[in-house]
Amino acid sequence: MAGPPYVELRAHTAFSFGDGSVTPEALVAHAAALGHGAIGITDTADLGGLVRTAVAGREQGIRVIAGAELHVDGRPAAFLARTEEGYRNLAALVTESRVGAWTSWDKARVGRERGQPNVTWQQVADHNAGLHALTGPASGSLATFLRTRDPFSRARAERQLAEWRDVFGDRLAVEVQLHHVGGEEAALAGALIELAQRGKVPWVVAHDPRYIDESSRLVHELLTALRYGLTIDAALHAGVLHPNGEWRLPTPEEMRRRWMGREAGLEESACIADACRFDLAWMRPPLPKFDIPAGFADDAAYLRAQAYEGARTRWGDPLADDERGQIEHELALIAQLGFSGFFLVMGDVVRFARSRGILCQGRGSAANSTVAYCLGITAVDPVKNGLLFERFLSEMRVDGKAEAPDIDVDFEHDRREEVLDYMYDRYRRPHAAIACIVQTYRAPNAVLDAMRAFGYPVEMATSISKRLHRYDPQDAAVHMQQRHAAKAGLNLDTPRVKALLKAIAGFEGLPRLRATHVGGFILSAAPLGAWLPIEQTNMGRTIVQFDKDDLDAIGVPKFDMLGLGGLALIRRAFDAIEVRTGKRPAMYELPTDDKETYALVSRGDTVGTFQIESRAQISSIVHTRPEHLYDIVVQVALIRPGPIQAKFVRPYTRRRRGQEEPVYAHERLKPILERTQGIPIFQEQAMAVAMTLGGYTGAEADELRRTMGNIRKAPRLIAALERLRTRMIENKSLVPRVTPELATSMCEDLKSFANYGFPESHAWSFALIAYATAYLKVHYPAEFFLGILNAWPMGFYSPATLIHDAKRHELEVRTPCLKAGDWECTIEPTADPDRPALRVGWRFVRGMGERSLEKLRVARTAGAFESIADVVTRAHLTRAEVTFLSLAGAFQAWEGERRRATWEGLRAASDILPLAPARRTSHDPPPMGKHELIALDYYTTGSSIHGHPMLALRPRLQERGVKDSRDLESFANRRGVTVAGLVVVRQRPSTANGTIFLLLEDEHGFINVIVPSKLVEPNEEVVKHAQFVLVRGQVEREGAAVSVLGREFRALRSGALVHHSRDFH
Amino acid sequence: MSFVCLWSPAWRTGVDSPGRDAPARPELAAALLARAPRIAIGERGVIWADAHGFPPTERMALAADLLTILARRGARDVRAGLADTPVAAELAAMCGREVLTVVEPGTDRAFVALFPLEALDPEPRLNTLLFGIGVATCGQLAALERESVEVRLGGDAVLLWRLARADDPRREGIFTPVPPELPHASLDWTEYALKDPARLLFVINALLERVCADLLADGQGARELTLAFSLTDRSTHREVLRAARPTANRHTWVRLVRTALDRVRLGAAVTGVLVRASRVAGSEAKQGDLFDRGLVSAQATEDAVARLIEDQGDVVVIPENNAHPLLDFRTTWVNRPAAAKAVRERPHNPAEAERERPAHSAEPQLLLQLAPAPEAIEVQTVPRRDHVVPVRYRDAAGWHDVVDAAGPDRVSGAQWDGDRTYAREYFRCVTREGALVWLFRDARKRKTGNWYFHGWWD
Repeated sequence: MAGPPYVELRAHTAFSFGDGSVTPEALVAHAAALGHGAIGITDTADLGGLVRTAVAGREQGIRVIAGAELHVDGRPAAFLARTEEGYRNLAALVTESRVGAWTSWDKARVGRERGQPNVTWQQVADHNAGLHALTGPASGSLATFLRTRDPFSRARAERQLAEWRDVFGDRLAVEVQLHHVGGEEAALAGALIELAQRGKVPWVVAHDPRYIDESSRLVHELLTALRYGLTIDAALHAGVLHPNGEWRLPTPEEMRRRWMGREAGLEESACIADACRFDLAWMRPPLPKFDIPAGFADDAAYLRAQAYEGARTRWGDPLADDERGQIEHELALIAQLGFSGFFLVMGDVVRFARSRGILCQGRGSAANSTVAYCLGITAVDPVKNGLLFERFLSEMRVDGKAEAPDIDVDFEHDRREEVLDYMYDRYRRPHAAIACIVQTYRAPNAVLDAMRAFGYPVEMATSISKRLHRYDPQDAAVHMQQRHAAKAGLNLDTPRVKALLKAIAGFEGLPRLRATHVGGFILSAAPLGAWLPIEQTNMGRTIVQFDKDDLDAIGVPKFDMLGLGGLALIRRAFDAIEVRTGKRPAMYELPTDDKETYALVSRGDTVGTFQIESRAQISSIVHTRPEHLYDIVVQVALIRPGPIQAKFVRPYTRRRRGQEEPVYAHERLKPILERTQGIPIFQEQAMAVAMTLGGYTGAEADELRRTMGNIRKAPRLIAALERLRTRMIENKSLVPRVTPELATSMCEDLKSFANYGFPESHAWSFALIAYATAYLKVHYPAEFFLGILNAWPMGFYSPATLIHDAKRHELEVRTPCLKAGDWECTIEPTADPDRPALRVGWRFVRGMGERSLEKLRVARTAGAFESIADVVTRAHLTRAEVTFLSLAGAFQAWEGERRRATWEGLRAASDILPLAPARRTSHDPPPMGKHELIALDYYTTGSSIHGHPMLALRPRLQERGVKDSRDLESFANRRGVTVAGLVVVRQRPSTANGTIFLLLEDEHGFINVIVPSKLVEPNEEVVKHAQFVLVRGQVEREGAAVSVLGREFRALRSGALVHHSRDFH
Repeated sequence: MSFVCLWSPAWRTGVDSPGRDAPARPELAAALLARAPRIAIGERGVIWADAHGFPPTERMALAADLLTILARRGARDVRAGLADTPVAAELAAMCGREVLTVVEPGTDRAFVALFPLEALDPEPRLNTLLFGIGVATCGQLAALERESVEVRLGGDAVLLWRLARADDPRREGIFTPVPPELPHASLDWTEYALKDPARLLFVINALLERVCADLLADGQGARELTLAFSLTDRSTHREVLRAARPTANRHTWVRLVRTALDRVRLGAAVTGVLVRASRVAGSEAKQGDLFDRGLVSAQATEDAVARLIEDQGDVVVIPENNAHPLLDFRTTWVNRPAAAKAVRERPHNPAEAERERPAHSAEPQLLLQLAPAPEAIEVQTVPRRDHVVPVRYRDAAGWHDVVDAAGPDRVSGAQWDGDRTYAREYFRCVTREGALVWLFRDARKRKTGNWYFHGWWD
């Protein structure tokens, strides 16, 4: 039925966090299916769903109107952007509602001022330009006046409407909603229309939808209940749920029938929609201006001077032609695209970090840039290593603007905050913020939240959720239905459990919360909140409401300052070496041809080293046996999902060892692939293939690479590879020509590793760090382990595994000690000056936090501790702190028996009345055995220097013929074996089709266990959750790599051990 | 052997029915009380039976009989412990190997000493400290000196130490009823001191508002109210006020307080006030209406309630109202203490609650009378906009023409609750006879026969 047009102007998505239960994409798709031509998004104080809605709208052919619902003096109203200025004001109001005044922030204040987003009427009036105002729902201030049974309320409503009209003029409409909830609502609608007509203000129909169907309604009700801290039943009885399901997106026809006879409100919705415009380009903030010294005409001139100064430092004077040529090529493109300031900003932050002694190094494609190398941002010489600049920056454009370059710089992970603070100070806080991460619901959160809302016990919800942690909510609902629900005692036939499963599935894809991105800093020449709304975090940082993908879609450049544990490890180790030897090594001056280092790497003794420590890396590295730094560069990139899925690992390894000859499908491929044994491993190689065989320009090749790198764009990838295939076949300049079969085969190879390929420059950057850590492990083991333990959490292994590895390297490891040790691990001299001992730090003692540290630090400033009582009383330790410290052996300098030390420590902790001192009494607990001591160590520090927990089980296992990791070395391939160990790592890589890899640890080393996918489910409890596992299977030996292919799995009974495996799923 | 402890591992919170506790069922308690003089429900789901006064030979028979009663009523895997002390009886029931474990008189301490400390369920903090000093069994803890325990492990540990020595303070408390906490409210201030009676009355008025609200929520009135003033000289002055009859009327109490303040002379300025209802009684007049309109006499009602309590136990219930979208579910009758708790658990943010709450049916000037149950009727309708409206309906008395109908007022929800799921469209209709009736269509049913008469206004 034809009728007046209707546009829903007030839709909410799940970015209303807790008050919307549909993703932007689902909302837009549903709107398209219902026949809407446009839709307005008014999430509550949030524009975070806008980019996704706009992109989805473009794809579905639906026009999107940008808006937000804001609380104005505590009452909701909605504002829609009509123009670019309007969008700017909308963003500014959302920012102000979140962070208040945003022109004079300081870090400490920001952290304190979180709360309900709200703006004042004056703020709205100040930012009214370009906005269209809607007066809000039944809880809005205008409607509230009308609902109040007060003789003056109507006059107040008229006065307020007049105020709004004075500010917004004809950009104002009285919002009227009708959800058929009762007579009062209908009466209110009538009163609002009458008020609007008397005040000569248009009125507009809005439906304010929060969901699209029954399933999303149920999720909305759960979210509402959780928001109030109630179960869904209690929420129903408390009247906080919507009384009916009318808050869904209606069809235009439905609205026409509902408002028959009063079509003016529908027509007004279409008029408003016509008056509103939105463009993603409006969201792009102006690039920051770098303060250039006098004497330079512009950014580009100053960058040129800086680049050449750096180049002479790097390469000496005069520069070679290829060096000068590359610099000129890059400078010209950078200047043309307007990114000179961007490079200067990154150069400046790296200079700051170095001035503070913070190790840093550029990673990623930035290492393809010679200018970045000259500015000191990256450490790899692109000229010397033939790296392709176009991988980093090309002329391709997004929406008419230059695509932002991507410079990622790693800083020591625990000092990154200093760098962020510098950026905030240098560029002013209102001009800077960090990209957010939108955490979407995964199975565990969905299960926990849904079960909590349905009133199930927390223990039950936790128990189920931890068995579903690798699933999305929809898969989790299926798994629960098939297995876990019945096991947990849930009756699948009851409506409640059916609804529970439906709700869990309904959480699929919904955003749950916002967090801070690990890298992306955004800078602007003007206050940023007027382009990208800003929120504050508990840590005093500020984040924009958009994630990395949103910012890419808008084209906002990010300054990626990432934290890297490997750098923290190296800096700490260097500090310790300098203290012990008086000489400080420099990372880029370590000899790169050290045979002992390559020997350590080649035998897979790489636990704790950067990037080459995983079990997959170790299994590969013992075959490839690196001998040069470039071998490590390849190794870093080789054990990645792309090359693994493309089945490149085995041929590379064979060719690397000379067991087969490299084969080049076309002679022009030899220069491109020669260094990787004829196999494309790096993204640059894929680009070079496209340029050489397909005749692509650098920019076209980079566009292909970007398509390959985006996992969400599979159809685009297939189309792009088909184009490449065609261009290769049609490239007449090639001799010989590429045959269709060859082109197909090459495109298949590229497709296989497309999503996960590494840039070579990135691999170079990581290889430098990997080599440095391996070098330290060989030559400075004490300092190496000190570095990694003090930088922990980082890497692949737990402190317990690292300490056992240190002991296997004959490093003397000592317990935490309050007399000799410190908060962090320390180096202590031994009889052999070249082999110092490692003392474990106090911070590894359970229950020790920042407050404990501060107390101990202050107490020891006054002098060394002299007794247990001295420590306890001077540091004001609590009973719990005393207990854990003494059980960890930290009082061993004064009392060797740990329980007696606790007895004395607890006495001292309570001895607070000088006139009535607590009596010293003797205490003789039964003596502790070695196994008990090891268990106690694990309980208090998570590791033990007294031995491995497997020692306690070994006699029993030996009687049953169970072998240890040492025995395994001599076992032949395919031989049956039974092994056992403590599970230290569990891995279920996405490339392994459900196979689980367990790393068992025993008193001698490690055992790799493969759990075939078909055996995972029958043995789920054991392979996923047991601490000690006994495995019956057969030895799989390939060269130096040994694994056990498991057939039977059993959990070993042992005493309680506090230990958690590191699980990577 | 004065305590019988009954316990089953199955007496835990049901997974599909949170909060449902098996032993707490009243009919079960009644059956046990037919054999034992006193029964109590303890922590961890145990049932206590009092064997005091039974000859030693009959105590075992008592325990055995209680086990039989429980077994007959479907309780599975129940075990019993019989001992002089509650702690020994509890451990015997929970850890004993037999269905009935008897701890011989005088051996409770030795019996308890054998158990690991976990059997006494110490709190985690204390457990850590005990682990730290290497104490693993009740016997090891019992062997320590009390002073050492108190100094090193804190006052809480002394209770555990006493239990480990079978010196159980619960001996006196298990069967003693706990008096309910009476409504009270207090305010302390440290920045200044009050001397002005008017300002003091202002503070007390605010406190009285809360106390009276609590009394009303409990269906009570205060017979006696105590005012306690904290003074700057660190003394406390108490003033007891009595009303002519039990009341929860704030104005009455404010008047009495004002009179008292005129009379009272305090020795120093005031730094805090406590208002406590020190004696309370049920709200008699309201209960009187409950039973017989012709007996609007407090005495008669009180007698009736007393008889009911005597016959049936604690059957005093009060209405608890909520904001359920369906009127049928807005009122439930609940035990008095539970109702008081429920009132306190309502959402705390009135502004937000108001936002969420629908603008439901217009508040009627007439009183809505609900039919005992929705009555199926036949309805003729005509289409109007996006819905249909009734124009005639037929009930047992015949056809009625509807001259005006307002609606639909749609309510739907509880889609997770099986039989309680609802989806209705209500209409407020005026019949040609002038009656204002409330009809609804059950929107879950697609076919005819889905209209109901739900009530009328008068």
